[in-house]
Amino acid sequence: MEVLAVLFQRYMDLLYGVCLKYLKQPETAKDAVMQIFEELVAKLPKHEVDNFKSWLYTLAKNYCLMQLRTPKNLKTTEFNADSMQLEEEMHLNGVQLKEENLQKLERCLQTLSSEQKKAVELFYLQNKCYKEIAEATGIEWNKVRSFIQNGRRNLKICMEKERETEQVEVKNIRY
Amino acid sequence: MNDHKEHISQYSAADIQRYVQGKLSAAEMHAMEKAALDDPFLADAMEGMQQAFTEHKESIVTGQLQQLQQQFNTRSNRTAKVIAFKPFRYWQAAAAAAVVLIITGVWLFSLNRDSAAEKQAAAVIAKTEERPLPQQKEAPSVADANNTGIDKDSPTTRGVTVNTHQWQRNEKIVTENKEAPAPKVQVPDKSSASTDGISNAATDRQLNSADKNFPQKEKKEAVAEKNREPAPAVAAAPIQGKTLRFDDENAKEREVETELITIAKSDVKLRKAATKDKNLSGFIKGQVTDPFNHPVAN
Repeated sequence: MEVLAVLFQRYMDLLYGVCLKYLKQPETAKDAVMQIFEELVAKLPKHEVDNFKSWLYTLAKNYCLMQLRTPKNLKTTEFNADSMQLEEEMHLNGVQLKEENLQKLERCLQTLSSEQKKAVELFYLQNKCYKEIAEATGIEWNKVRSFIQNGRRNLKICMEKERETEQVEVKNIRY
Repeated sequence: MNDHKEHISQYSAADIQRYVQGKLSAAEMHAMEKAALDDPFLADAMEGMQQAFTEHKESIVTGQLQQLQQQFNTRSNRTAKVIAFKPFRYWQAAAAAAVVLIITGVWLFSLNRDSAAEKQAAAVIAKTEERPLPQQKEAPSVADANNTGIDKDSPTTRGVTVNTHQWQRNEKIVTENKEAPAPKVQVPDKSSASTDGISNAATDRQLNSADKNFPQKEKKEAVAEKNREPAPAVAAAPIQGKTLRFDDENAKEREVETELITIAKSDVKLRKAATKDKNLSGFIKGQVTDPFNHPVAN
């Protein structure tokens, strides 16, 4: 079906970028994109896919990782938490911030480390891009990004905790 | 590249490229970064493009992407199935077909050669057989289902080993087998179809006989055989098979049989014929004595 080709084209740019990230070489990345399309054609009829975009992303990642899994490619690198991006699904995290939670948010924000707090504030409250934040704070660009990500995650955890305690309090009030 | 209305929901490679190259405004960059925080797909893509543009020439990176876009444009415009046309599959199919043709050609060629050799042998045998039984025609052979057994003997001149299943077929013994290069035709059905006894019996027999020494002919031979039916019919002298079964066989036929036997390879049926020969009425057992009953020395 040409429909699949059209659908695939919509995400092809992003796919190419992802393949570039894992495979490094532009030509290899191009071949990988072609192969991923073939896999898509083969697998899509067999799987129930709710979110095509995320399914395609997983497919691409798996393919690239398989390609890298040759013995000569196995090398150990240091696990550097600062340079790691979060693996968890960050989709829709932004949507959960609502007006009534802002106060909670304020409280949680105070619990963050100073660097994370600064980065998050500059990014979300002042809508500054990473580059600007890096220039303003003198923190390196990659670190800015990881601070913002980790800060977000901590805020989310904090908010969850707050919600749970709230529910417990509500229950207590009833009785 | 996406339209502007899709700008918010989906970023293109060009957008990312501009981001990486610092061509976006701060606000735009912020927007993209924010989207990337929520979308790991976009985040990875941005990372990949960033790495690529620092390590490779811009033209190479974008060139590959353009190739991709071209390929998919043609693919989505195609009304045919999505199943990709892989050129090398074509070559494989063509190569396989060529190999098959070559093998078939070689096989046919070798069969032609063998048939030529057989023709010679057949000609010799045909002559000897024609002498004793000039009048014997295949016509009666049609009715001779029993001949199948003997037929097997006769073709043995070619060293043909007749398959057992031939017994069931009403094959007409045709001496013309001999003349004709023992046509080992692969078409049993044809023989039964032919009304002229001639060619078919022999051909049929040949059909399934797997004679190693005389690689049997193909349909071509059989067809050629059948075409020669009328002529050989007349000349098709002895239908060897019949010889032994008929009461009116004569010794000469038997001689022919033995001839055939000697030429042919050892075959079970052959031995049958050989044993029959021992019962020839030409033998006289006993002693030769003179009028005074004294044995005459030989």
